[in-house]
Amino acid sequence: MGAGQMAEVMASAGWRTTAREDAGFAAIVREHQSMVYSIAWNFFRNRALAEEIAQDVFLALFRNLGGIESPGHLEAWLRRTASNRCIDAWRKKGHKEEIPMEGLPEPSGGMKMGDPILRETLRKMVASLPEQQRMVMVLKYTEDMDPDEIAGMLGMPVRTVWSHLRRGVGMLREKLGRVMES
Amino acid sequence: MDRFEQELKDALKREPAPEWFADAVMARVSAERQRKQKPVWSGWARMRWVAASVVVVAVVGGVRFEQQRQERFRGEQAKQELMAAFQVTGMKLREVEERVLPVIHRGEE
Repeated sequence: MGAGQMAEVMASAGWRTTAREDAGFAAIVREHQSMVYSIAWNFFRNRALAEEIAQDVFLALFRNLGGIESPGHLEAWLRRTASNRCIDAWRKKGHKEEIPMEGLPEPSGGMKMGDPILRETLRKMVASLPEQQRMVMVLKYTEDMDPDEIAGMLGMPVRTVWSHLRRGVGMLREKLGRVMES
Repeated sequence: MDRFEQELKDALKREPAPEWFADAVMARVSAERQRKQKPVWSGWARMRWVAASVVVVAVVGGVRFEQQRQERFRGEQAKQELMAAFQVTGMKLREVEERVLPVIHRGEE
């Protein structure tokens, strides 16, 4: 079932019934797996953890299909659940688990914008931010959400979201500037 | 959005999930479905089975209790009838004795 068929599934009156069937639910998973997986991957920078959390999110969706009202609601539900599960999992691990930086080369001087190594360095820097600030950055730059939406989703004041964004970007800019100068 | 933020956006852009991801999710969904289809062990179904079992045990126990009560009653009745028969027999024997003994005594004299 492709994206077009998936849209048909969601638009039909009995979409929830169709979604409960294997083919319908598999179409929903394929449609949204990149979004859910990317939120977890950019938050943890650990593929095993990202896969586990993303699978848990879809299993939770299957259990809660009855509460989903529309395609828009489905997407927002997945995004919110993925974000909250990432933060919860991070807190549960008590910050003790080291996040492996898979295949990350050491940053060196002479990097320019657009350099793949520089991008990987940026990802590493984002992964080192405090969990709430990191999730705000992921939702802003991966999901292209505006601060109002992020505030509503994470249940925090809009000014806190703005503050996380300003400080986060400022800190990354400063750190990266030092790396590029070295 | 300045150049740095664009760089950040490119660095954090969405990535495709592993190819097997949807299959792994569907395997877990299938396991969940099978777990839900075990009626004896699932919430309400288990409660219904327990309630039905209690009713059956109560009915069977009640019927058995009533049967035993009736048997005891019949036994008591038979015992009383037997005792009454013994009493009647005893009385008749005493009557016969009272009639026969004077005749025997007169014969001896």
